[in-house]
Amino acid sequence: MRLALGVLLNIAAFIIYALAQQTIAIIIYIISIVLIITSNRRRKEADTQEPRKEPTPEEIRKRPVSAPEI
Amino acid sequence: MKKILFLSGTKGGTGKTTLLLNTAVLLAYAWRDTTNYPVAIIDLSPNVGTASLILLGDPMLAWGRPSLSDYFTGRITDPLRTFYMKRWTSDKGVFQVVFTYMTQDISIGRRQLEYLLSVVETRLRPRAVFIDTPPLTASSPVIGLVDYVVPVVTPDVSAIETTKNYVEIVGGRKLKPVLNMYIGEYSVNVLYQMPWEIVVEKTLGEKPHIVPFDKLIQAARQALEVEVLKIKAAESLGVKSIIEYAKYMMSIL
Repeated sequence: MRLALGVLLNIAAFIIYALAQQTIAIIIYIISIVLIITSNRRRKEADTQEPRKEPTPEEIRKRPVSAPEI
Repeated sequence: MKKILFLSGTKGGTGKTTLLLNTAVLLAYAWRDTTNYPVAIIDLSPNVGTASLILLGDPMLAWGRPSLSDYFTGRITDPLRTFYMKRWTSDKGVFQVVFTYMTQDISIGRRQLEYLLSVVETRLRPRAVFIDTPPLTASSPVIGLVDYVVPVVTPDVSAIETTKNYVEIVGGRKLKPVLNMYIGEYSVNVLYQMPWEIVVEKTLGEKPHIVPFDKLIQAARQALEVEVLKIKAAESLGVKSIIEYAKYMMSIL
């Protein structure tokens, strides 16, 4: 969503630049770049997130005794 | 004193020792303020049963000490000399179980077993004694000696059938059967084309309590640990289900 919006704004910035609205075009261009970069970073974070690790027998043995939940 | 047996007929590997040990520990904790020795475990599995191994914590500790094998062979006359205590300290208090075990594969005399149970009842005064046996035979000495029987089956037609036969032979009040190591993806018995729950209900006469297959329980077993003391219910559906069954047992006993 963020990426699509970024790309749309990026295209819009070039169109506005062609229409001689230089200042507005630069502002929109910067916003679009920020959106594209942050969407990439979020995707990378999601990819690098490890799946929940199950404890090994060794780790279970080292755990302290906890009161049973009864 | 209620005498409780977890039973799978002639089948082994159904998880009855895991269920017995965990429910025994849960009841020992729940009853910790009511009596000195709320729960006793008599492990009749030859060559040191798994329950005893876990309670001892070290396989080497079992040897060179008085055991039930000495009592059944007549080398010891007082069976209480073969009992040991396992005590845990948790953040919510201290609790314990007493237990005894066999080191050798020898025949168990019926009269000796009756005397053992009477000594436990009069001198230790537990609220419940859990008896762990190897897979049963028609001549098992526990037949007719127990007050409650917990049928434990896995999704396996032969295990369910043999359990049904032995529940009738052993006697005692039948508690809700346990369908252990249940895998949700394989919930339908292909032979009868009906869910395993229904197969168990039709065979054993009551809807089973389901304990799902759980890798964490296998991991705890490899570590020789009591599952309910090291794994939280929130992280294991198997442990959660065992706790629910222990609550059910408490309501009955």
